[in-house]
Amino acid sequence: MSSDAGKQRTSRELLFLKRMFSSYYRRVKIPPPPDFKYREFGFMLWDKDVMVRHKSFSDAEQLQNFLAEYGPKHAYRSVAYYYDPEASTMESKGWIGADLVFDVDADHLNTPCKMEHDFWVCEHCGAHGRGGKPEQCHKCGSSNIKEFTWICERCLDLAKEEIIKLKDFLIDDFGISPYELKIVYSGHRGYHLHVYSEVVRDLTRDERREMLDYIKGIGLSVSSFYRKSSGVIIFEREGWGGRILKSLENLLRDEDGLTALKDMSEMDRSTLEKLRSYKSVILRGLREESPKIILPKGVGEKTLIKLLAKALKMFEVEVDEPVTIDVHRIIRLENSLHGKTGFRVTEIPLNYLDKFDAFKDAIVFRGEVSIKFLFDCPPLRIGEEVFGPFKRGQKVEVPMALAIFVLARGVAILL
Amino acid sequence: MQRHETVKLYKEDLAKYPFIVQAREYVRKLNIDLQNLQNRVPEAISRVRKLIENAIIKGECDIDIDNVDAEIIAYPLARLLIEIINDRWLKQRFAVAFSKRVWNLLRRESNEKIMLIATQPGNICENGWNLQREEHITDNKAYEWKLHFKDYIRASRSLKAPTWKLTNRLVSNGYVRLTKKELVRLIAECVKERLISSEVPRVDLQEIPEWLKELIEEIRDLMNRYKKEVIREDLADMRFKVTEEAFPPCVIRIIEAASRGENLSHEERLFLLFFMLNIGKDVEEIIDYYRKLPDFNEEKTRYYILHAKAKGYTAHNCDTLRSLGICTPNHEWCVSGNIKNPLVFYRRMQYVIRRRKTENK
Repeated sequence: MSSDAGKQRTSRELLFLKRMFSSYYRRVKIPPPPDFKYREFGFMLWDKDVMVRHKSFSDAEQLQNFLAEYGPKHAYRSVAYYYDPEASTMESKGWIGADLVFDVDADHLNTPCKMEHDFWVCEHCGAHGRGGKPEQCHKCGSSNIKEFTWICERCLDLAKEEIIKLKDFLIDDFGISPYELKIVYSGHRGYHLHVYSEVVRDLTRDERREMLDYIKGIGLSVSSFYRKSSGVIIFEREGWGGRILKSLENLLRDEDGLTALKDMSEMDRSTLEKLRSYKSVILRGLREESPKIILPKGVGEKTLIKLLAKALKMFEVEVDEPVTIDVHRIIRLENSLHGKTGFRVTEIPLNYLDKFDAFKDAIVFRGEVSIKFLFDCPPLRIGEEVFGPFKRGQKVEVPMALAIFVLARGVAILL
Repeated sequence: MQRHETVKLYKEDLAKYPFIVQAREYVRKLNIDLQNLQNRVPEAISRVRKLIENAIIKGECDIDIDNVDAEIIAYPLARLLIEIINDRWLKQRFAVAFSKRVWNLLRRESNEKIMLIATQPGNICENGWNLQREEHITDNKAYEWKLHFKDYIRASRSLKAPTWKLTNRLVSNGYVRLTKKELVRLIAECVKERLISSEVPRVDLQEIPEWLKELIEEIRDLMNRYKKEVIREDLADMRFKVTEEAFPPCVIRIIEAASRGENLSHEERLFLLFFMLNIGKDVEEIIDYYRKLPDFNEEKTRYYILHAKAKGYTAHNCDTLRSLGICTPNHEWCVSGNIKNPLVFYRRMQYVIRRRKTENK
């Protein structure tokens, strides 16, 4: 884990952040995760860049006291249950089982807005630019470059779309009850999904990977879901079969879809025309009880398969693989604060997922404080109000939540 | 959950499926041990000999219901013998052969009996399967069963063909649809896996009776003779070592599986073949890799190799291998994403090894 602490950020800022975090933990009750006595906890403190691991707590008060005393920068807990969570090696902990977890992170999604709000600064000569950091500074050639990422609504909305697709896979396909699912905003650029179910607890790494392959559509062969009977292609509605049908329907329904179709499959004009004029026949076939695909003359099965394979991309879920298959993983503690943002790691009820707004629902600090910006910074919304953009050297009084966000990122100092 | 009481199991059923709980219980009640077996059920000894012999030579297990007790006892006895001989190849060979027998018998059984065998705890897995009957008949496929996805993932682990990949199954509400044929195949897979992986209680070798010692020697001889005949093991092993260093992990995994006599999927066979042709191995050397496969056929293998050679196929790309479930990315180069084809891995690694060797000199 890399530190965001810039050279300019002094111990004064770190102490301030620690105090603010501590005050949150003194003020707010942190309900421990299910069966927490069997879980390992891990913390990153403000003054050193090492993880304090192998901690365990026998009651909720103990955990609360620890958090209040140290105000840790990051707080984690294991997805696994152990007989002896404090033991110092994985072997001696005695693994009992682990929840199934998924991590969707905007960092892994290719969000177009990265170019707008992420930036880098050369620590050698001070040159800077937008987007991800280059390997070498274009001005002085140094490779000592610091990257500053930001978070924005578009990043988080994309991640939310992924988590919704994931949730549908788990409920519809894997039969997981909505009561066994918990969705958590990570406090930064993504979401976690936890499955607390007896059924998944003893799944091995490989078995988790097989579920993940299913969700990501890895190894999917479209032809497994249909068969040809006297020239008609008859589809299955279950599993990926249903998604195949839906993607085809989406593509054919309107002009946008048809244009997308042309772009992504490099389809020639005449094929596209045939599909367009035949559209209503195909759509009717798709909606039949045992769905059929009736293709116009001159459009073959092969064209269809190619097309579907591309169209299905919209159903594949971008999940960070190592998180799911690692049965010893530690993951952010619910309701703790994220040390890169000061945002709360927030549990989201399923029926609130659509409305969840990290810039409002994950904000815990009130009040104002004066700070000075060390870099040009993109705007950030806190609650209903957008603040910034800010100029390097600008001195300004801002909401506490914003101040903590930029102090934690090392792009501002206290005045 | 399931109603077992509607099916009655006869002694003949126990002989057909001697791995089920009732069969174990039956043997226990007979009060037979290694010391009194020769007097009580001497036929069991000739049965077990025949069972293992057939497995070694033909790769098959027959069944003899004329003497039911002997047939039921022969199964635990065979496992004990194989455990004592402690040879991976034999264990694998017997497991494959016996599971074929199970498959052959079970596919003719009633749904009720299949349900009982699959769901009862301790038969094919510790807890028994979470299995349901539900018909979903389409034009050319009759799905009659639904198996919980967790049991499905576990049972299909060793089946590498794309049709078995969970992604390509009808999965809904936690269950995977199966035809009767598929279900029986999965049960047979479980029986095989349990034969390979589970341990048989150890016996003190000092205390085993003379007839058993003789039988063990007999089988060991037969096995060694057979293995030697077909495998030319030492030669092949030596050759592996020469180039193995530079092979990508996916190739190493397949070679290791093949050398243990495990079954390879069609795709794995093809990939290994293309890869070896591409790095310039000759046809006879390539055939050696396939020798220990349970269904090895020299002529067929040679034909495939020659055909591929004539066509000049290139080894699959990493992307394709990933989709086929063959990719084994446990080297940092694989994870980096810079390698697009296993052949690139091989050539680079060859270079690295060569350079390392010259540096050491």
